[in-house]
Amino acid sequence: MSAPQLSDRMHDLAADVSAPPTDQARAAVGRRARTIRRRHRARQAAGGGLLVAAVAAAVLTAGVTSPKGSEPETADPDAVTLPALTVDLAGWNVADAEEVALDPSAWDDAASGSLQVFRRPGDLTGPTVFLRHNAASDTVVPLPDETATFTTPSGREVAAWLVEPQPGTFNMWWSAGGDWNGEVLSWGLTRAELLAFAAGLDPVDDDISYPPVGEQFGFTTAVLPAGIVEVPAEDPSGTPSQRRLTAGDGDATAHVVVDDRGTVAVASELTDVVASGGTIQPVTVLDRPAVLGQAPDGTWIATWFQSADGAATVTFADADRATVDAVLAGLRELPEAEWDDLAGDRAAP
Amino acid sequence: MEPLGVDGRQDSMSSPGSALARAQLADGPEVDDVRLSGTPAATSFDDLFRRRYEPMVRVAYLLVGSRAEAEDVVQDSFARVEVRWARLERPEGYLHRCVVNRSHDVLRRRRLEQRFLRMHRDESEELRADELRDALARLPDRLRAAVVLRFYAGLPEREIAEALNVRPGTVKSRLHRALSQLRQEIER
Repeated sequence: MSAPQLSDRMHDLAADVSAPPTDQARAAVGRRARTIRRRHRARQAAGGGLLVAAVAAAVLTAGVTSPKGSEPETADPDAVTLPALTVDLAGWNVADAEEVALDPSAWDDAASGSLQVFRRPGDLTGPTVFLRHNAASDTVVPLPDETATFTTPSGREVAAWLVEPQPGTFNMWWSAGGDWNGEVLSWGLTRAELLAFAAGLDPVDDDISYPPVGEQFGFTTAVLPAGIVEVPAEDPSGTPSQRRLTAGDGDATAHVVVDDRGTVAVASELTDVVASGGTIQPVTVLDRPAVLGQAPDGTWIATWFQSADGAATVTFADADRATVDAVLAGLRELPEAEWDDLAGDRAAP
Repeated sequence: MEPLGVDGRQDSMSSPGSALARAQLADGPEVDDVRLSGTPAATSFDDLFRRRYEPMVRVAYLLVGSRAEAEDVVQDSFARVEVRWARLERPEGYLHRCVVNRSHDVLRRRRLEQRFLRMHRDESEELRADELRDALARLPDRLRAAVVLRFYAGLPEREIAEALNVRPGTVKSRLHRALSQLRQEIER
């Protein structure tokens, strides 16, 4: 199938969809926009004090809060530059290298949820939990397939759906009446440990509405099994930056990214793998503990901390496991001057 | 059938981004560039809404596979654009970004529902049976978004990169992988 044929067939598929910009549709958009504005004004009028009070009350109710800040992977104030990596392997050539300053404020599409990360201090490959709290825009279809039930510290009776797509890897999801969803993705915990963890969760703010504007997402925790703690998973306050390099051998391609968002960057890659039912395994890259994931579509991805807050990720295309191992073994950290030359030589005109 | 641009009108205008995509994809005849790259910017939110609502519903439909959810995605996206209208230098780019993000939300939620709820869907609202539909559904979200934005919406690489928050090189790679996977799925 050629590219024009693909284009034509996509147009055929979509041709039957009729959605004219009617007054009714415009009114629906207007209602949503008014909801966003109204709730935004309410948040601004309430100020931060109300949220602080709500958080404090939730923490008191839960009795235990996560020891944020105890994780050694916090930002190093002395680390002013990101490490730079290259693929130093026979037959592989660097096709692209660039330094990118991300500007999330330019695309301030409102957040619709939160992500919390739990693991043992400094142990990237050990028991890990990714916890999401998402706003929901739709009603819940009542079906009798719940596979786990528990009661949270605030007395909420939860019926959740729990599956183990890979041995030792769990996906769990529950809904609060269509207002919000909770999702847990984990590896390295037993089913009993995961259920104990989930039973200790209460939302900081139970009053989540859709579309979400300035909601206080996240959970307080009462039970942290297997020695896991919450690690900071917030975007840096400044402008996030990345050092990106693409290398290939004519068949396979490796995209190497070092990102100063640390845990956020690592989590964004691994949650996709775990949520899709992929596999996770520990490996060592550049003498550092790393996680190697393989998505169900065969895509390999390796991620680790190359520096205190410099999360390194290598995503492979058209690569088998032997190639993945060879590339990971062939990675080399570049001196600053060498990176400057490499990125400068390939800078866009 | 003549392809339509995202604003619903025919066009054969090419762009530097699409030329790069052709060079990258290389193993087939050139794709028609269906996007009106030279279309004047929207003069007001209502102007944008009138011109882009239905085309964006079709884009969302190809991403999420359900007309009702596609309209929900697009109405939510337009609401976000309306609220931020005065601050947006390129409202269309922001709209694309919102539609992709909201579509990903829908797909992620649906995967959960299918995994946990075995949700029964109204088949009459779904994409009709089609090998391309099936092949698209099997693509990872990030590849599906790239291929729909390129080959249905006709966006150049730099605009796809903006919509997906990745660099243009990553768009090239995703398009290459998406096409390879689609060919394998359809031709086997």
